[in-house]
Amino acid sequence: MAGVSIENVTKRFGADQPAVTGFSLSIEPGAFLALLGPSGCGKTTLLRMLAGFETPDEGVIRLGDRVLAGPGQFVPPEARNMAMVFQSYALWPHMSVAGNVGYPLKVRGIAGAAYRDRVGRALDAVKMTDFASRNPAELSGGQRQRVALARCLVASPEVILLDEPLANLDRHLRASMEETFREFHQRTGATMIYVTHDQSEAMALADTVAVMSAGRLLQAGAPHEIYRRPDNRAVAALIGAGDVLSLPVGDVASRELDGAAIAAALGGREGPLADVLVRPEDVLPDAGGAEFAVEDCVFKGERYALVLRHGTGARLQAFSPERHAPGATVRCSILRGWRL
Amino acid sequence: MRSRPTRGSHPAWLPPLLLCLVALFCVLPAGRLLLGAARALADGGAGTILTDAATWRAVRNTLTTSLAGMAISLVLGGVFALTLVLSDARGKLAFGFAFMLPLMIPPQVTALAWIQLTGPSSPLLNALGLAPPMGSPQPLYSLSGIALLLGVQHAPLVFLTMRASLAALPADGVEAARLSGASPFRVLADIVLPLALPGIIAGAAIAFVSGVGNFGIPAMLGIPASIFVLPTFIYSRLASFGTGMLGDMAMLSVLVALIAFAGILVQQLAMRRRDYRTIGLSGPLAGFRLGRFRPAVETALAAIILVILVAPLTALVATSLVPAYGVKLSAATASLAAYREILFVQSVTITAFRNSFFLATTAALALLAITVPLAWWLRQRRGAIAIAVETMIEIPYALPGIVLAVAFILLFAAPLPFVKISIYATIWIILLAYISSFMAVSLKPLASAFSQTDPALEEAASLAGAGFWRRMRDIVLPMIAPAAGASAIMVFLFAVNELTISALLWSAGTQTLGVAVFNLDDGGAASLAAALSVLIVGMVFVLMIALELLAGRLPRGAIPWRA
Repeated sequence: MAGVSIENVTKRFGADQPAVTGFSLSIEPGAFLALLGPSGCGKTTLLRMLAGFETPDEGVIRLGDRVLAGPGQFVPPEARNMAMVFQSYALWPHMSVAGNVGYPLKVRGIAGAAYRDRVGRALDAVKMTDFASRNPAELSGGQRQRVALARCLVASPEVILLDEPLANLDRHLRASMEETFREFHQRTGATMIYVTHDQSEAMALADTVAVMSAGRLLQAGAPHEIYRRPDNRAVAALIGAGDVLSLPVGDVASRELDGAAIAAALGGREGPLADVLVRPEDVLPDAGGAEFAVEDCVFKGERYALVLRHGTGARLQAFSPERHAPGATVRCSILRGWRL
Repeated sequence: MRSRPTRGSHPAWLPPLLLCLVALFCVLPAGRLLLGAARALADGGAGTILTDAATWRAVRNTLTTSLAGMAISLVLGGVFALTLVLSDARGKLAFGFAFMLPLMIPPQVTALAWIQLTGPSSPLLNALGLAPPMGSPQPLYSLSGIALLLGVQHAPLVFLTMRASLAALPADGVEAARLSGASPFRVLADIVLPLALPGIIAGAAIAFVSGVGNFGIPAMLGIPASIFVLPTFIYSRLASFGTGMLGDMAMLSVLVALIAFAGILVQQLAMRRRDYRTIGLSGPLAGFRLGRFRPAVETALAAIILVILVAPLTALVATSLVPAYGVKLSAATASLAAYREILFVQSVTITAFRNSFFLATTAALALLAITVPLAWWLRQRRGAIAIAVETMIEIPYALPGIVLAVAFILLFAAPLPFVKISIYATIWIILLAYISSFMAVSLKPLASAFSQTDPALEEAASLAGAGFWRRMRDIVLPMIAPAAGASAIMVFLFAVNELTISALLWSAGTQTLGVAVFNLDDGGAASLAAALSVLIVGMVFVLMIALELLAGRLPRGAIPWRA
């Protein structure tokens, strides 16, 4: 396995604002990286540059020590030893399931028993052995997805790229495919790079999440890091629910704020204001907490989602096991906050 | 986002080669024509031809017949499109196919069929006892006759564009109008027709342009009565004065091209306004119930098909069965002698069959070799260069056949430079002109096939390790094979029906089927011409059925007469 390093990569389409600007990231061998960002943020362009479907205008992309793309250098997709799961799955309609899966081997000149054995194992890994002679058109979305995955697996690529592979599946199927991806990563140990705009998908699957916006890398780190300790307001706004309060927190060195510090700030202390991120799950009912007016209360199935308003004008989202009528008053304390 | 070319995704020599081919076949002829016209103008030779009263009579005749023909096409095509798309009349598929047929039947055959239908010697009218007395003039040998047949021939063009624009109407808009209380006729007047107007204008413009460029009909109907439109005027001048008048003819050709391009411009402007599709959901307009009028409407449609298609073709078949000139046709006298004659005896028609089949097959296959990589590359490339290339390919197709033929005479009248070989008066000049003229026909099904296949299919093969040729062989060709088949059949159909280009470029031994029909009729061998025409119509019919059978595997838009 080899790691991927992306150094200062920029890609422009026409005279518009660049699709990707000065992107640098080093991906460890065997990592599962999620590229997360809203649509149009350049994450797919970056993935296509890794695959070799686009050439960077500036910067260098390396796989291990090998330069894939850089000034005057370019390795075409067919020579990169990568594989990709496309959003549309990209199964060839004129080949059977087995033909699709075996094509990378066929191109590499592998035939006979070795071919049959490896195709068989790949199909077995995604539980599609019984469908080997079917046409892709006869399969359901989830089955097509698994065939596409088997095609990635078959030639033991160094890097597997996944372009929003779950976007076209229904919710129920997504959960089971997430499980399949996780197993797949554990089994193969391949470096996987996964593009998605769905943060819960990214959090659930990846060991590293890279958050992108407007062509730039905002922050990269472990999922809980990104969630708990966003670098700036943009990342906080993109990841998870929550509110940014302007609070006079005083001179605290740590960015992590505990309940007491926040309670003090809400209590009406004077001083310079700072932006503090509060996650809704950190707002807890507490008879001794601050007073909030309930502005809105929506039933979400497993709980109620509240919108609260503090006397200082601060707006806060919270969860509650029971219903509160709008206009009612509740007392809550805030468990922790993160200074942006 | 996905349009950028990727280095290494195709051999570096491919784009320059394709650009050269397009330039040679599409830009060079038009350029040579303009040069010829400019030279003639500079030499002052323009004086005689542009002040000649005959020239301006031909211009007037061209405009009169094309505009009147357009009006007839508009009425016929409009009635069929509105009824077949909007109403609940039965047999839509059959009516649509029957109405389309005149477009695919070569114009000289249409003309011959109608000549056999009307006039004193009509076997059909004689058999029915309805023929005008012997010696009375053939009523179709007139400007109105030419206009009528142009109208019938090109009505399917109006039908097609109108049907496409009606099918793209927002169905929910029509439903909303009905719920607002509008009667079906109010909906038609207030919603449907205004929205379909750009399509109607575009269809009319195409019918006009096709009328300006049509050669077969005015040649068969006008030349016997010394009525000339611009294409037949150029043809007869070249026939009587040879290549000495090429400069003048280049100028006249530019004139024809200008009239045609004015029509195309109107069509393009009309189509550009047609972006209603984005509003609302387009869908089947399950609108207008004919109720108790349904049988009457269906009978009227059938009657129109009877008059414009069945009757002329029946007359054609009847004439082909007449044993000798003047013999009255009956079950006892009918004979297949004419068919035997053209298929096995007459060397002229046998050669024509051989030539046309050779030209059509070679043009179709040669074009595939150019247009498959071209369509592939255009999909990769897009952007300004791709649009420029697509426009260049449209030029020779949009040029009336007579104009393209004059351009090719200008190009090849002198021996080729360097090699000193002349292909003038050989079959190769016709082949090159066909390749130029039908490149757009060949490209269309392939371009729509490529636009409807996911580029990811090729990218997946690329990541699987397949290089350019491997991808072409394993992925691209199998996927576009049906469209390539449709492309080849379409070119074959157009080429085997072709008359205008070959009428100017043929010489002894290189006559085509179109030229053979024209010459046989011109020489008074009506039943031989009719028999040959019947065989041509039969062949057209079989090829169209073949395309229909292929249709299920083709991308939308690959076959021009299907919605």
